[in-house]
Amino acid sequence: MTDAVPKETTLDALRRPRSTRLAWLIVVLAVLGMACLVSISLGTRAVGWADILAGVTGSTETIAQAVVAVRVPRTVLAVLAGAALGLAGAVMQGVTRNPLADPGILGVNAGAAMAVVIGIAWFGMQTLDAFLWTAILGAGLAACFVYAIGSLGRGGATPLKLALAGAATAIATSSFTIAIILPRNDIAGGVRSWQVGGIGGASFDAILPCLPVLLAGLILCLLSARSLNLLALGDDAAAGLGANVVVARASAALGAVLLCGATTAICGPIGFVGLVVPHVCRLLVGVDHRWLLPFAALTGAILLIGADVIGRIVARPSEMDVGIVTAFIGAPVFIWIVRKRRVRDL
Amino acid sequence: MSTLNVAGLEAGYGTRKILTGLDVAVPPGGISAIVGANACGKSTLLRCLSRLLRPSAGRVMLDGRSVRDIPTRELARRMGLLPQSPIAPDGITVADLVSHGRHPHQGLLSRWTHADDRAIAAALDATRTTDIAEREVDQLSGGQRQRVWIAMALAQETDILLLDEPTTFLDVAHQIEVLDLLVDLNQARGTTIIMVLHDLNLAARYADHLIAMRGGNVYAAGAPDTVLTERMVQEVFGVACRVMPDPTSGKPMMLPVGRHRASPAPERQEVAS
Repeated sequence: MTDAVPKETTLDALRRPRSTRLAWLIVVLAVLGMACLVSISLGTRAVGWADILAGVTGSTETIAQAVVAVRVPRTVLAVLAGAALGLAGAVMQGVTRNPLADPGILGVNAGAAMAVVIGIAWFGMQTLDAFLWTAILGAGLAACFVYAIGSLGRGGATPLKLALAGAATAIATSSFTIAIILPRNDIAGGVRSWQVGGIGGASFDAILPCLPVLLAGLILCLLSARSLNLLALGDDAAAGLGANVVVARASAALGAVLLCGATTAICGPIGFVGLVVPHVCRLLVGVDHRWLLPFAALTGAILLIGADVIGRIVARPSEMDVGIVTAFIGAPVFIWIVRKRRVRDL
Repeated sequence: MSTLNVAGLEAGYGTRKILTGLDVAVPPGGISAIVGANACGKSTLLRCLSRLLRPSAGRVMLDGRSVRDIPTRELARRMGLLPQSPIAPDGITVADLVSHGRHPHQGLLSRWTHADDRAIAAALDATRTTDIAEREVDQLSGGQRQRVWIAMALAQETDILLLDEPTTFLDVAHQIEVLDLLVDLNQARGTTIIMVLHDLNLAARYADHLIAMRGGNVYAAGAPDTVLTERMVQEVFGVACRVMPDPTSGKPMMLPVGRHRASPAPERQEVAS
């Protein structure tokens, strides 16, 4: 062993991926921009470019301009919710080292939804502020519950036990939610469209109170990128490299819970975005969370806008809820992941 | 050079106590091997040394300071750990994995430096993994993969390196390769190496210091010549054996005596045939 001068090949090997990652970043940003444009221009009613420009700047003089003015907050919400869910999914897969982790599968969205439905049905909750905090509370409780159940027994929280505990919790809470709604005709309609996952009724008034929570979740998640890289090597190796495993896991999970809770409060539980997006991003940029997490946010936004646009087109003149479209896209991908990838420890 | 001492260590999992008031001193700058029967507390001791496990009593002292008082990141700059079964994320390249070793040297927002590049290049070079730096870790052979993990621990540039059974699942050629590599490091960098090993003969040949454990405590510790005796193997492992000098290294070597095919004594041969 000599105090070797760094060899060119080594440094190249370390740096080459960066250029492909940057190229993908530009591609993803361009696609996102195009998706936003399509989302504003396309829908049940066709509008011209002049109307789009006028509508985006706030004018509502013609019907077409008014339509655009409605589609803008809807597009913004799709970007925010998609980014939040994609990011939360990537973080949850990292925290649990489980390729099947997703806010839907781990029962976090279902927990948030149940908390909101309980709030509506039993406490007459109506304001979005109340939805927001109830949903975050529900998401947090569900996450803790699933983790506690999954940690029981030998070997701690293995991916298999977490997925089982999450799936069972998701089904149980969903059943309970339905049991609450069924006898209540007065709230059933409103809860139903919220529950399937809707971004159609978006308004800036509804989005605004969620922004600080989403921002806090975003920052917590992005800051945990490096510790997620270490956790991926196993808890012992991560600790040996100087990570505080418990703190790293808890803070990343808190970030994901904030994102899921806030998103579920506005849109209802939207499934599969958090599952699909991180896998696509890993194919593009690899396993480094410092790249993976921002990409998951961007790609999640693209996916949700795309799902929303498809939902508007396929069911003309009516609309299909975005949660149904993501399930149609997500279910085959879920099967593909299980079949194609060797799912470690499963 | 860092010194590592353990005094009155008691530790276990839940209510089950595994280590029972253990004292041990690790010679600085040497290679120490911890040996003993299954479930005697070898890995538990290593987990306490690396602070993965909190002892219920006693202390682990690094340069006279309790490891519990040393900040996590600082400890990771002084003591590296290669656990028994680390996980390589799907699709990660060798270079990316090895670069994780630099984590304790980097701040939250600090940039990649030349020192980082140099440490990684040196680690790849020392473990002869430079040529496979661009390959994905999942596609490597077991021996190559173990060299990559050691490279990661080397990039950490610590005075002390702890390894939990670094030769498990490797064939004999790769076992020797890994152990030779550890001796290289010990000689070139003066790294203190502490490892759990299953193979008594390899432990005796490669370690300067053997720590034989029994029932959660140290049965004997010292140079292989004094520790590896027929009596020790009988009392620690419950196996009768012969100990003789290893013809290649002169270190003690042990051959177990089983119930069958053991002795060429005439009466047994008759029974066997």
